[in-house]
Parts: sequence; structure tokens; C-alpha cells
Amino acid sequence: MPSIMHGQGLEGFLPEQAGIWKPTGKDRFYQPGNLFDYINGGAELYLSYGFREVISRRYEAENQPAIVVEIFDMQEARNAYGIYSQTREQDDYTYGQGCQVLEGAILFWKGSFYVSVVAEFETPETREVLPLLAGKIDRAIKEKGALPGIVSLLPPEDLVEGSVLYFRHYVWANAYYYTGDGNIFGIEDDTEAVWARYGPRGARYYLLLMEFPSVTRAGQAFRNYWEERSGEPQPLLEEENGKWNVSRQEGRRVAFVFNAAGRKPAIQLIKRVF
Amino acid sequence: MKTKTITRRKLLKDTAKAAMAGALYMHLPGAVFGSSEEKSRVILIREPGVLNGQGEVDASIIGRMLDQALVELTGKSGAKEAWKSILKPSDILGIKSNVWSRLPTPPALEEAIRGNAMEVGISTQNIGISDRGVLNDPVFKKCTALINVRPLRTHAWSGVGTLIKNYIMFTDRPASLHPDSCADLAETWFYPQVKGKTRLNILVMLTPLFYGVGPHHFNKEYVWNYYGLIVGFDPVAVDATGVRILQAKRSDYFGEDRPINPPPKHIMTADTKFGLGHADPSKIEIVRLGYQEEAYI
Repeated sequence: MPSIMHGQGLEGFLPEQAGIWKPTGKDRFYQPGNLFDYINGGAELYLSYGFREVISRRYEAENQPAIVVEIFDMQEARNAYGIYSQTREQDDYTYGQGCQVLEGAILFWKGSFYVSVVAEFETPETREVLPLLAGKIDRAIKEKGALPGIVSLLPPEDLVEGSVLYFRHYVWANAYYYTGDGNIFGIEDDTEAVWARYGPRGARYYLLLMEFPSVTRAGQAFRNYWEERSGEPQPLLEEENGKWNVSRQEGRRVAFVFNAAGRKPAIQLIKRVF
Repeated sequence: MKTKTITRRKLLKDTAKAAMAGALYMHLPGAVFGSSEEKSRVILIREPGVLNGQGEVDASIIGRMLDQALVELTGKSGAKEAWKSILKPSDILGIKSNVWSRLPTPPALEEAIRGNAMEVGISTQNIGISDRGVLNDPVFKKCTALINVRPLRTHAWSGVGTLIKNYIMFTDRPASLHPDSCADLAETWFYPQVKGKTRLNILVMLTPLFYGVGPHHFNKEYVWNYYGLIVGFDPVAVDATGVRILQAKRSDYFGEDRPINPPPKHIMTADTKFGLGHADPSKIEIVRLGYQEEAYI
């Protein structure tokens, strides 16, 4: 996907006006080297998904809260989707290729961009203008991106809507279930990985699926997990709390099912993956 | 496939670690408790009147809450005696605050601490309140005592923003503490300008943030009025208690277990690796004062 470098066009996605709101001050740009100056510790999340640049523009209107719009250039669609997948609770396609609409905020991804439109606080007027702003930006971004390929490997049966979390940084290997300290799977930027929730509320179980660039790396990931844990691989395991874990490596793929209430759903899920 | 039950977890290197991890991480079964040690006391005090209808903090009520918590924590007969037991007139006091704009340390609480320090006899010029400027603040540079005070919130990289994490400003290279979701944050508590100086830890639980969205990790949807403070001498115990409340709130809100992401490893390693305090709930005594409804713990 072609990149948009600073000065070539991130600002081109932003409208000059939205209702009575107009831009104030200069647009601000941040790159990986100074993103911490802008969003402090939160920067690491974006850096873990290939962040390249963000534009931040402030819009103001008389007697109304300011609105800050940010467009993050994440280099690739899979990165923008990954950021989106971190916090959305359900899949809403009103804006871009998936969005979250909250009080005073609209967040969406489209192509290689992650967009945030946030009012300082909500008023009847911001409730009208936020959709207007988000819609304008959505239409200005012509590019569309494909979902990461690994997402298509997730079995749809019993998959909880909005529960897919895509990543390529080891920190997120503990997102749904604690798997271990440090980078025990050897997840690097060349590794595709995804979490998903399955089953009914109250009996959720979790699938961690990873695709490595080589069979050797996949084998190491599988063995490392079990070495950390018990010394020998246990493809079918009942935990001390009675929950079942199932794991398998096949070729470049490694999958774990955690927290299943019975062995049957866990085994079924892993079979569907492979 | 072979079926086998693991009875001893090697995933977590020792039993004490497993116990804490179970409490902090959720979805980690088989908590096995470690050796017994003296418990850490934390005071959870709540008072609905501390917030008015606009969410503003009532200065007199929050001051009273702090005094009551400290009296309970120190076992002294009154607030004056309690403050005198942790500060002395010759102290140079740094009040380590937090200025995160969405959820800062309430100024009224900072002023309550300052006022009590002055009552003890510490002169105004020997009291500093700072967050990001601690390395260059003249009071913090020569301080003999620290009081650590900040709100609890989720955090996009460390899992939660905690009292332990609040001292990250004592390094000029905070990014060096970011690997493995900030697992080694407790290291900052052993820097020369910090080590052994903390007299009190106050975790602000008036409106905790239990879930974060967007680049700035904040939306009003995910804060709630809890009306509380957690106060203690052991920062790890205070943080661990706060995190349990956040976890319970998340489960309640989402209607299912929703582990903090990423898991707050730094609280556990503060205990197991750095020995800063207790994260294991079995080693924490929670004393509850005031409002008891919907305590989530």
C-alpha cells in the first residue's frame, strides 16, 4: 500500500470546516520519534502496530467544546485494523471499515488509517457535527484495505462478534488469557497472530492462533510455551480449575484454545482451525 | 491426544507468583499460595458526598476522608498525631502527583496533603507538588520525604496507571522501562532520589477509569463514581487492591470476565522481583471505612 508521507496529504483528508466548527492553530504532526510527546505512554500501542505518522487538528466554535481530529498513518491496512481491534466491542460499519461510536467520540479505521474524532465534551451540537466530520473524512479516504489473512482462518461457528484482536507484537499475547512472561512464542513483526472469543456469555473460551514465517519458528513457539509451563507438550490439558486447554502446531501455524468448559468444544474448535 | 492434569504450575516460576497472578490477571487458574509473611494493611474509605452533582470534589470531605484513613492506618488517636507519625517538621516533602489531563490528581487532595504537612511544621518552601517536573524541581531534588498520590486508571501499555508507575518520572529515560508492558516499573522505587523516602501512598478512586479507547485512552463511558481512596504504606498492596476493584467493575460492566489488557505485570514483579510489597490478596488486610455499597471487593 503506498504510504502518505508528511506534507503529501494527511491534511488532505481533513475538511476546512464542519458546521460552525473551524480549524484553529497549526496542524500538528508526530512521527515514531516524538509520538510520546503527544500521547505519552499510549504511544507504545501505536508503535506496536507500525505507526508512521499522525496529524492532529483542532476545530473550535464559539460557545462550544473543541473537537480534535487525529488521523494515524499506520502504513498498512492490517495495522489500522489491529488498532481498531484492540477496543471495539462490536462491529459497526457506519464509518470506514469498522467504527466505534461513543459519547463525544467516533473512532474508525479505513485502509491504512486509524481516525479519531473526539469532542472535549458532548453537547447537542457536537452530537450533530461529529458524524458530519467523520463522514467527510471517511469519504476523503478513498483507499480500502483488506483484513489480515489470518482473520479468515477463524472458524465462524460460536465466534463472538467483535471479539477478534489482531496483533504482531508479543505484548498482546496475554490480551485474553495469560500465556506467560516476555516473548515466549517468539512473536515478531513477521508473525501474524489473532485472539478471538468463542462460546456463550458465561462460558467463553479463547482461541490464540499464530502464523509464523517458518515451520521452525512455529515449532519453537509451541515447544517454548510448554517448556515454560510443564516441560513437555500437552495437546489436551485439564487445568486445575477444570477448564480445558487444547493446543496444536501444524506447519507454520500454532493454535491454543484456553478456558473451555469441556474438552469437546475445545477439540472441535482446534479441529476447525486446522 | 493424551490427557494430563497439571498440578504444579511451571508456567509461573514459583507458587507465590502464581497466587498473585491469579488475582491480577484473571483467567489464570490454579492459584497456589506462597509462604506467609506479615500482612500489609490498606484502608479503603468511600464517601458519596465527596463528589457533587457536577462531579466536582468537595475539599472538606476529601480532607476528612484522608485524615480518617491515616488515623486508621497509623493507629493514632487523631489526625494531628497521625500526620506527625509520618512527617516531621524538618522534612522536605515532595508530593508526587499526576497531571494526566483526563483524570488528574484532584487539586483539593493535593492541598489537603500540603495543609497537613504545614500543620506538622514543614515550611511552605519545603513542600513541592509535581509530576513531570520532579527531576528539575528544587524541592524534589533535596526531598527527604515523598507522598505518592494519583488516580487509578487503565493504561494502554502497562495495563494500569498505578502508584508504582507514578514514579516513572524519576527517570529521564521512561521508555527504557517500557519493555514487556512495563514489567520492571518498580525499579524506579530504588533510585537514590526515591529509595526509602515514601511515607504514604494514596490511590485516588473517586472516578476510576476501567477501560480505555482511542488514542488518548479515555471516554466518559468508562469512568464511574466510586467515591473512594485507598491508602497504605505498601504501594504494591494498594495498587493490587485497586486493580481487583477495576477487574470486578469490568466484569460487571461487560457481563463477563474481561481481563485488563495488557495484564498489569508491574504490580506482580514489584512483589516477586523487587520485593517492594505484597500483591498477593492473602497478604493484604483491607480495612473498609464509610460507604460500603457496590464496593466491588
